[in-house]
Formats: sequence, C-alpha cells, structure tokens
Amino acid sequence: MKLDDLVTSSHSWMQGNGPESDIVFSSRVRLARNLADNIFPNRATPNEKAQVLERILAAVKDLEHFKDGLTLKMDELEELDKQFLAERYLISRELAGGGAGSAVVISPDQSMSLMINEEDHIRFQVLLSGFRLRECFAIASQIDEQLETRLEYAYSPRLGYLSACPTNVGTGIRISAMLHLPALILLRQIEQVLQAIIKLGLAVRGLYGEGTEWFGNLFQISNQVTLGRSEEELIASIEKVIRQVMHSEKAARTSLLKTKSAVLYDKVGRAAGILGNAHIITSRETIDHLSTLRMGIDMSLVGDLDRQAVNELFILTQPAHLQKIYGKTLDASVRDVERGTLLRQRLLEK
Amino acid sequence: MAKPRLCDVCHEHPATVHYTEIVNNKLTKFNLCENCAREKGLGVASHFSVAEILKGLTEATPEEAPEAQLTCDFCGLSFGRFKKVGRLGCPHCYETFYEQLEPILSDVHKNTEHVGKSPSAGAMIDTTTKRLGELNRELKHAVENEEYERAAQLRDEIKQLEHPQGPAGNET
Repeated sequence: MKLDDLVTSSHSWMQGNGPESDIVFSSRVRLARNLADNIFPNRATPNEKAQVLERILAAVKDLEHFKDGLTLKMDELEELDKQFLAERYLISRELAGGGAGSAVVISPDQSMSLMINEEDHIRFQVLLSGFRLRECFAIASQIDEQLETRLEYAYSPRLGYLSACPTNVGTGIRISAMLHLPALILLRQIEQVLQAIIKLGLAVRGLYGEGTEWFGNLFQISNQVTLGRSEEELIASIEKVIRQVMHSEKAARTSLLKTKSAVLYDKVGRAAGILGNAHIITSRETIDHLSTLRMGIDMSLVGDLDRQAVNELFILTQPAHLQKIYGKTLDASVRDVERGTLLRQRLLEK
Repeated sequence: MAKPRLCDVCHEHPATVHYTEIVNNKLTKFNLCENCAREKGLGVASHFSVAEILKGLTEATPEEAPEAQLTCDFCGLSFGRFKKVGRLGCPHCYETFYEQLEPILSDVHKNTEHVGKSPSAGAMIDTTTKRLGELNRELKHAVENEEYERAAQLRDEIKQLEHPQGPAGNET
C-alpha cells in the first residue's frame, strides 16, 4: 500500500452508511497514550523522539489491525501529502506540522490510524460511518489492549493514562461525532441546540460560511472531560445528547417538509443544478451545496443520486485532494475550475 | 464581484478558512487564509483552544512565585514553563506538580481521580481500590439526589469491600 493508493480509494466512513447516517455522518473515538519514563514529544530531543518512534513502530508492526497498513514518516512527506492526509482526518494538523520523529500508521481500510509523536507519544483513532461510537470504542480498546502487552504505558492509578496536556489525562479519550444539521439551521433553531449542548459540558465545533449560515451545516460534538468518568459513562452521556440533537433535526426536517416543501425542493434542486453544471466553484460553495444535496437525498427529495458519490465529494473537492487527483500543485483559482470539472464528472457518472 | 474578505491575522491574503469554535460558552469566529490557518494548527483535531483554557486557568500565578520555580527532576520542566506552553514534559511531571495541577484538573474535569480503563496488569492489583472509588462516587451521587435506599445499599457494599470478613451493614 502506498500513499497515492489512497487518492483513488474510499474510506469505509466515506460510504455514508451505518445507523442514523442521514444525520450522523461519522463517529470517532481517539485514545491518547504515552510511554512510561519517556519525555513527551514537545520536550524530547530529536534523538529521544527517534527512539520512541522506532519502539512504537516495532510494537505496531505486528498488530492485526494495522496488518498490510501504511506507515508514513512526516519528514519523508511533501506538504501536499500531509495536507491530503489531514483532509481525510487520518492525521491532525499538529502532526502534519511535526517533522522528524513523527509518523502515522494507517489501516488498509483507513478506518484506523495511529499517530506517533504528535502531542502524545501515541494517539490512535477509529473512525466509522454513521452513529457507531460504541463500535469505535470497542475496536480502539482492542488496539489498546494489544499495545499494552508490547509497550509500558505511562499510567497512574490515581490519574489514569498520563498525557502531555492535563486536559487529556485520565481516560485519554476523545469521543466525537460529525452531525449534519441543515434543517435546524434553516429553521434558525441551531443556536438554541448548540447552547444546550455546551451547557451539558460538551464541545461543539463547526465550519461556517456567509453571515449566520454555518459552513456545510456540519458540526462536531465531542467530550471535554477525560478524568473521573469512565469511557462507558462518557460514551453514554454523549450518545444521549446526540440522540436529542438527532431528534430535533428530524423534527425540523418533518416540519420543513410540511410547511415549506416548495422551498425545500427548490433549494435541493438548485444545489444539484449548480454542482452539476458549474465551471468555477469554490470549496465553500461546494460544501454548502453538497450539504443541501445530501439533505435532499436523505429526505428522499431526489431519487437518482448516489449517496456515496455525494459523500465522497465532501472530501474529494478539498484543496489537497484536488491537487492529488490532478497530480500537481494548483493555485486557488485553478482549483476552482478543476473542482467544477470533477463535480460535473462525478455527478453525471452516478 | 465582491471583494474577498481578508485574513483576520495577516490582513494580506483572502480568508478561505472560516472557523467557529464554542468552548466553555465562548463563541469565537475566525476568517483565516490558508497559511495562517495552518500556523494556528486549525483542523478537526485542533487543540489551540485547550491551550487558551489552560492559560486562563494558570495565569493567576506570578512568574517569580516559588511554585513557578518548581522543577521536574526527570525532564527539567519548571512549573513556570508549563504555564507558558500548556504541556507537561514527561509522565513524572504529574507527581512533581501534583499540588499545582490538582486545581487545574478540578476546573477542567470537575474531578481529580481516574475512573475507567487501566492497563490490565495494573487492573489486577487495584480492582478493589477502583471499585471502592466507583462506589463512593455513586454514593455521593445518590445522597445528592436524595436516593436514600440506593445510598444504604451502596454503604453496605462499601463496608463489605473495606472489611471483607466483617458483617455487611445492617444485615444481622
């Protein structure tokens, strides 16, 4: 497996399936772990980082989850490749910024990736399509249990897994889900919902577009607390909140369909029209229309569109992906033209 | 065509990354160019807000205070330095700075003791300790919620764990 093989391949989570995937695009669990008696990456010398890297790579090499996977060292990658991996959520921007001593190991289906010498010695994630937090955690746990027989973790009975940043100490877990909430935005109920989530001690992030309209209508909900509550407790509480948000979004979709069905059909139709015919289109405009189109598919307002194709376009139309697909660096204005070409091709292909 | 909005940081390049973050009830919006966004480490797994939180929590201590001079024997990190960078230097820092970290942990997590997974070797040794911790937490919760029957059950279970041979609570 080579990095360039990823360009033409689809993530398991890009397929847009799994439970509740009309609203929950993806579920993710990430665990942070460090090696006992080793300096954390931010303070380690290049030599110490290199030693830690080799030890961890040796331990990961025979893990069944990463068998036939891809190991990439950050100092051997081009900037474009790092950006490409970050757009796929396979590495963080922080790892992309790290040089010698940092690496990532990616499972063949790309649902699992393990970063070495990011903020912590080890951070691995399981990313699946749909609402599957428990499954993500179960797999992450298996990886964890196999790793701990090969490496000695920094662990204290009182504080749990010790991390470079005290905000991750304890379980070292970050549980997150990407939610698609277009109807709540159309009905202007989103602020209320977001405030409620925050009050419950969770973090919400989103990309946003013009004015008050959120960019792509996508929100990531995640836990902030990692100490003093077990993984199961944290998952249960975040699941509960997600279910409530899902319920609100579903109610908003039903209400829209009842009271503003013409507006809804018009929006979806226009989004399909623009994406299928535009010749110059920015990343932001693309994501906004893809979101509308995806809502149209999920609400059965459009019949003849492939959900997976639309899903994949969220990722494929990102700047580094476009450049990898076309095999060269392109500046923003050229990318807007190539993005249009790619969209027309993909949406007509079906 | 409308003039593109310029990056909030460099005010030179067009802002192509639009980012909103709500952490601890604070909503912040950014319009950044690609370069500045990358420098800020913006992405789904971004942590710069966490550093901000830490800074806010720890900036009350003056630089020359004795605790700022406290230094970890293993990695050489001083507490003063930690407050600047928001990252510890090694696992031993948690012992060295425990007293200073405790209020931070309490603010961030509303808790100062781990509950949950542990490496399996360790788990064998302190299962009882961990279970006791869990039960005590549940007890506190039950009392707070005025679930007295549940609280009584929990007290019995705690007693039994603490004195495995002795009689359990109000069983006679």
